[in-house]
Formats: sequence, C-alpha cells, structure tokens
Amino acid sequence: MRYEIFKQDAPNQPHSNVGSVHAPDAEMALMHARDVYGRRPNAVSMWVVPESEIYATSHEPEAMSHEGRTKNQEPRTKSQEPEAHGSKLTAHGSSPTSYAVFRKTSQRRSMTYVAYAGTVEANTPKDAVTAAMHKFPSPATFVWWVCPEAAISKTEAEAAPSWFEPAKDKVYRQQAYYGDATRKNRRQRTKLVNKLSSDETPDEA
Amino acid sequence: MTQATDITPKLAEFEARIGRGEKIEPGDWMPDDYRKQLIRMISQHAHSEIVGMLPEGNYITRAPSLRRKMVLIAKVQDEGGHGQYLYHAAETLGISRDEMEQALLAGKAKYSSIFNYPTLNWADIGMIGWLVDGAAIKNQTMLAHCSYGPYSRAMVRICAEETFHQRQGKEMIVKYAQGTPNQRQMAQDALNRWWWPVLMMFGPHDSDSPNSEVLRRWGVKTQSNDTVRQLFLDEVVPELMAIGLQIPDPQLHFDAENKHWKHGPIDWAHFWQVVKGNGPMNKERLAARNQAHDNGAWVRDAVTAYASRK
Repeated sequence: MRYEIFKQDAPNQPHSNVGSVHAPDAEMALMHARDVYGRRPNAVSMWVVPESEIYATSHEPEAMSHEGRTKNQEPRTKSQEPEAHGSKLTAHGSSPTSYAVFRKTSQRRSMTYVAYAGTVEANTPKDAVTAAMHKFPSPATFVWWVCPEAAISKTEAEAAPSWFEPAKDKVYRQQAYYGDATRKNRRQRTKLVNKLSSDETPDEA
Repeated sequence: MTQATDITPKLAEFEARIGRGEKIEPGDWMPDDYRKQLIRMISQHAHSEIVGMLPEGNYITRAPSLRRKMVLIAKVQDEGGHGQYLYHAAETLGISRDEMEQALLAGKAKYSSIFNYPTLNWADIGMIGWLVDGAAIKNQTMLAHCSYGPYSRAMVRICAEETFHQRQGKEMIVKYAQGTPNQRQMAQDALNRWWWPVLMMFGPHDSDSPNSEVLRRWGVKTQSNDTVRQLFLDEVVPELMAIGLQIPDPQLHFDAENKHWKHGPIDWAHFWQVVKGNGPMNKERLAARNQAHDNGAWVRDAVTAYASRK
C-alpha cells in the first residue's frame, strides 16, 4: 500500500506532505518514513496516511488565473471513490466524522505540496472540502486534501526523541563537517584561476 | 520525437504558467509529452540512485577506518533514500512503483552509465564522491529549478545531501594526493579511469541532444548539457591541478579569453556502447540488483503476512 508522508520540522510548524512510501501497514510506513525522510535532523513528528483514504481536489489552471482564487470544481479523488473501498473510516449516514484538512497555498516553488490546516466535521469527503473552504478561507488555496482524522497514524510524542534525535549525532552527514578542507581548496582554486586569467597559458594541463 | 502540438488554450495557459515561474503539480493539466518526458527522466534518475549503491556498497566491509565506514554507510543509505524520493515523484505522474521496479530488474530501464564501471580499490570511493557526485550535483542543481514541483523538491533535498557525498570524497582524495607516493599513485590511477566517464555523465553535446528544445521550453531542463559540463570543468580542473594530479587529457587547456577550461574530444562511440549495455559492468550490476531483490523476498513476505494478521 502507498502511504502519504507528512513531516513536521518544528513544534510550531504544520505537518507538510514530503512524499510517500510503500508499506504493508502503518507501523512499517512510519519506520520507512523515518529512514527516507528523516535522515537529517529536521523532524519532530511524522504522520502517515494510506493513499486510498485521501480525497483531493484539483483545479484547472485557467480557472485559477481567470478568477484569481479557487472555486469548487469537480473534485479529483486520489482514489476515485473512497467510499467504494468499504473503508470503515469513511463517514456513513448521519454521524459526522472529523476530517483532517491539508492545503496547497502557493504556485511557486515550495518544499511542500500540501500542509496541514486543521480539522472539520463532515459526513462525506466532498462535504469536508466544502466545510474546509468556509473554515479556512485564506490564503487562496489551490489544492485541498482531506482524510478522516482516524486514518492518520502518528509518531508518539514520548517516542519522538528516540526516533529523531540520533540524526543529530551523525555530524559526518552534514556538509559543514567537511567545510575547512573544502574552503582551503576553493581559495587555491580562485588563486589559480586569477593567475591563469592574468598571465600566460598554463604550463601544466 | 516530441512535436509541438496545436496550441490549444490549455497548452497556452500551461506554457504561460511556466513562463510566470509557477510550478506544475500533480493534478494540474499538462501535455502528454511533458508527462512522458518527466516519467522517462525521473524513473531513469531513480534507477541511477538505486544502482549507484552497488559500486560503493561493496566497499563498506573494506573501509580503512571506522570513521570512513560510518561515512560510507551513511552515503549509501542516502542514495537509497534518493531513489525513494524519485520513485515517489514519478508515481505522481501516473506510473506505478511496480512497473518501474520490474523494468529495472528486467534490464529494460536505463540508468546512468557511470555505474557500469568497476570500483577497483579504495581510492575509487573518494574519486566517485568528488567527481561523480560532484557532476551529479551540477546536473541536479539545474533540475532543482525545473517546472515540475515534485521533481524540483526531490532535487533540492538531494542536492543538500549530495554535497556531503562530494565533500567526503574530496577530503579523501586531497589526503591521498598529499600522502605517500603509493597513495598519490592510487589517486592518480583513479582519476585516470574516472575522468572521461565523468565528463560523459552530462550527456551528448547539445548538437546531438534531440529532446533538449521542448524540455527547455517547458522548463524541465533549464540549462544545456554542454553548459552544465562547462560549469563542472571550470570548478574541478583547477582543484585537481592544485593538489598535483594530472588530468588525462592532453588537449585540456585554459581559454584565457573567455576564462573557460576546454577539454579534448569525448569518445562518444564508447559512451553509446555502454548505454546499449556493453559497458564493463552492465551485466554484473543487473545481476547484483536482481540478486538483492530476490534475497529480500522473504522479508517482503514476512511483513505482508504480519500486516495481514493484525
């Protein structure tokens, strides 16, 4: 199964989608997520969500540029009909479900696709998107993702240090660890190029 | 192969978005050719990261010190992670992980030819870090600006991590070059064997690169093969010379007028032979990848069985 990964870089920042992993269950997905997206010390928490539980809207670019903001068009689902999968996590009947809402708010280069905004109560994923549009009107949003909150598996707060702190000790993984030798080398390079540019052709090539 | 299709309103808007510097994201409208070219490039790139673990993974048990061993394990693990970032980016375009994996195992997929050369001794590990990863960074820095969001994001992460790979390799070679005569000789020998394959990593000359025009218009490749090769050359030639290594190209010279290093002719006939599967290590790499996959079958079976019983 494919799981979407949401990584939180610092306690005051939202969980942001960084990619996906394949795993047979959420527990393995979290472990893979740490190995793939947490090798450097910039994670404090991770969430994983089965792709089939995510309902996503997308908007044609011309609609956005003509109207300057998003409008509720035919939503595209990552899995066309989440209900059709027989998921027990998807709302049925009249009891509302809590949905987690993620959104994309920039058309420029960004290190995340969608980031967590909060939760809404709704009966269906489609209704959850409509509710999200009312609850989170700004900034302008280009893509909405919603999933039942219960579909999210999270790293536990008390276990987080043992998950993410070891990356801090592996200083040899940081480019700055090799800084001095490289700086010296760069100085030599600049000196050589200046010399070669100013006088004759090189005697050694 | 890629023809300019009729300019429909959608295509015009797509090109206008790229012109404004916006990123194309999964779910946005895109021309079929854009999708196809990106799947081709990203999946080949992903395969290169995965196969790229093989020439170096061999040396983890032979590292000369504990420090070098930890560094090499971390580097090889990074390459595996980079493959994962890239397979994910390709999946957002509609190809499945399984399809890509099967193509690689069956020998139908391409990956960077640089991994079809043998690693003969420890100095090769340093030279690969410095030059192979250094060349990859130049290319990936260019691709970090590409118009497709998921590929661009993968490249930003990869470049930051590859910089550590490049620096640990350079540190190693600088030490060898300043070491005993035997160590100097090892560094020189590694340079002699890796220099030309590294220059080939940037791909054919611009005049022989058929996909380049449309890839540039759509913001996939923002600089040409020759331009990126030149950036690399101008960086590493003076550095290699500064530590006293001889670059194995008698025609290499500094063009004082435009301040660029100029290399001699590249043996493209050899390059295409390696691309077609006739390089020194093509068969071994494919066999090793298949063996690793087969040896992991019981792990995949076990975790699947565990998940199904919960």
